[in-house]
Amino acid sequence: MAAGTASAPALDQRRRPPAKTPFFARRRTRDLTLIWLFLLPSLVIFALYRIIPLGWNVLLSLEFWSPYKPARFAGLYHYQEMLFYDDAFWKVFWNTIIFMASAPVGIALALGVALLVNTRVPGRGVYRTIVFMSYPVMTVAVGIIWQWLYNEKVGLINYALISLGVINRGIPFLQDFDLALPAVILASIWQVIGFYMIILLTGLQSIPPNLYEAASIDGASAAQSFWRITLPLIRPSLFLCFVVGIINSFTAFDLIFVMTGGGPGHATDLLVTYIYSSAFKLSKFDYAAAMTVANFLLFLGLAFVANRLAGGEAGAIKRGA
Amino acid sequence: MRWRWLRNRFVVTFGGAALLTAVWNVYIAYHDDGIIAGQVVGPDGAAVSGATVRLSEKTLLVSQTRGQTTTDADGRFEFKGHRMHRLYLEADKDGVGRYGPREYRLYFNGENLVLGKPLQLSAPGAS
Amino acid sequence: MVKRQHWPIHLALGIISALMLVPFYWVLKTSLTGENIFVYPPAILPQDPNPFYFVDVWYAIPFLRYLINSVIVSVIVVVANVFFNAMAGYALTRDFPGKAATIMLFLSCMMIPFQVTIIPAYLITAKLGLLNSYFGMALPLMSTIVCIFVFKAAFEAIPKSLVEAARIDGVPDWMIVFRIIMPLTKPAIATNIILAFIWSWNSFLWPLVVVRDVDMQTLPLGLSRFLSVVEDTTGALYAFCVMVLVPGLVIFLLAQKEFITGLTSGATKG
Repeated sequence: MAAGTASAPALDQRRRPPAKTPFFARRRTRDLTLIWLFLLPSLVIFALYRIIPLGWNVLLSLEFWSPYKPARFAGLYHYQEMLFYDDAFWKVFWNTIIFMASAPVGIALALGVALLVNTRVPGRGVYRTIVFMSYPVMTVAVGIIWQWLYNEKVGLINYALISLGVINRGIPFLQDFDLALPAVILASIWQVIGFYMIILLTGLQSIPPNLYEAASIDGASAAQSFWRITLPLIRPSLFLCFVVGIINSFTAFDLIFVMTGGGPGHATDLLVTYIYSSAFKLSKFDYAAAMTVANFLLFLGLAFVANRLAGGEAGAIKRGA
Repeated sequence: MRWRWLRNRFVVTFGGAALLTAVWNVYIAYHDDGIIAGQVVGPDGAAVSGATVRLSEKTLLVSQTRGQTTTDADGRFEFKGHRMHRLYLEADKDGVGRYGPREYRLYFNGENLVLGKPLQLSAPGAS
Repeated sequence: MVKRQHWPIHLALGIISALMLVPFYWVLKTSLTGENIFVYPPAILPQDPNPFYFVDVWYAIPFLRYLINSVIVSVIVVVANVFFNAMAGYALTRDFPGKAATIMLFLSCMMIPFQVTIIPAYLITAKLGLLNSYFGMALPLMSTIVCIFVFKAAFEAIPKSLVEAARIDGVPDWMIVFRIIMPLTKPAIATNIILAFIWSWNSFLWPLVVVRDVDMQTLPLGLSRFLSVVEDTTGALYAFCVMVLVPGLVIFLLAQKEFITGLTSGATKG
């Protein structure tokens, strides 16, 4: 009853014929208000957690800042320290580059798997699920599993290598300065390979099959049609995989935090873990902000290069949206 | 039609898990009086009265003695009201021998444990 | 195409699957048998499996507390995601001044990994007084650009005439979204739910930064904390690991289709 009487005036207004143009105008503003109201929550969240932080990072990197003192302008002090005086930064920077550069290895493996799964093999859905299953699991748990596999004495990997006669005593992979980073990268590839595969599968399935038929009529070998048809046509997917791989160097935080904590020394520290420990363990927020800016520029630069390599247009991103 | 939602795979999985949890908890509620009962026998298999039985707890965090009792004329002993899931039993009697400490692991804290096999003392130095 | 023999492909895929599954198997085995680090070689098959490591863990840590924290944060994130993304997605199907700019803004936000915003994000959350709270943990994840575009695509697939008819009938906009459009976009909602759930369920860095209280820790935090407490090779750590993995895996396996659609549409759409 109450609802009925409340809405009655509104109905009345709507049906009043002479007020047509003003009503239309009102309707338009009301629509616009609603649209912006609908956008508001998302915009607020992105503003708070993406856009403002980006600017604040730059600001913070130019200041001497600590939680209890007023900030002072520092100019490029932190950048100077980062580039010229902090050896750890360069070590960590190169680690990050190596980590990102390992993405193509994972992508190549994933492409192999995707090509196999893309055949008309019965049970391919099961294989796809199994390969993909490592992606959605909790990265912290993945870290624990892998540091257990790498265990010096009873780790499965050492056991397998010894049994195969590759080595004759266990290697403490995660405590070794040279092997720790590759070991972590392997774990990371294991986790993300399923995601690459899914992206590449979507690319492969969008290739019209008659292209292959035409090629085989023209006498092209399987290798030729792979290099001439498959690879060029899945270039957007490959680009996307590469972006995922680069972003993976950020999400690898969980893995590294659990497996090695960045150690030994800085052997497995990536920028993201080094930033975390500088900011939240050493309370050097200003310095960490400067490194964050460097990290972001590195990311944008690589994404740009990858984009150019993928054919100059932003691949699927532009077309899809 | 009205009950179709029950066959949804999410409902089946999570409902099933909830049901199992409920059943398990009911089972626990009826079996958590914390009773440990058993019998101590000598090397010859005869009941030993007056033997000291010690109960100690071990978890990931603690390891300490939780109780001590002596066996009655039939060699039987009983602890009540324990709240453990990983415990050690140890028995000894001067001049007869000792047993343990041996580990017993339970499925939940305070699970009733009635030992089917008696604790058999062995002469010192025999093992 | 020529029908080829299947067994080489099965063989290759079988080996790959085995390699992918071995880590899961190994952690499950260790959680059931423990591992004696002084015995070599390690047993490949579980010997004398028992569930007692699970019992140990259950009583050694506040597992239920972690689980409830994780569930609360995930529920906040999922509900907020469905509502906010649907609203934003619907708004983007309409014409309004600044639409192109908004879409550009969203797309460029996607190029900002959350990890590079962590320091100011922490300071902002501290200013808002949300440190150490469920809401603070959930807030950054409450709207996802990928899912906004998933909703946008789903809404655009709905015939315009249906919406127009409703609007001419004077149905208010919010009612159009929640009573007419949403029921027609169930797949998009499912995708959104599963993506938001997995992301919030697995998120580690943000809770690590925001949470101070042991009582507020989520499962991944509890797991990493437990690792630092029992730094050894006890089976209990791996039992905990399995207990943490199972809920996520079960939900993934149940909602695999929606999850993969979401990821791939996110991947191709935007």
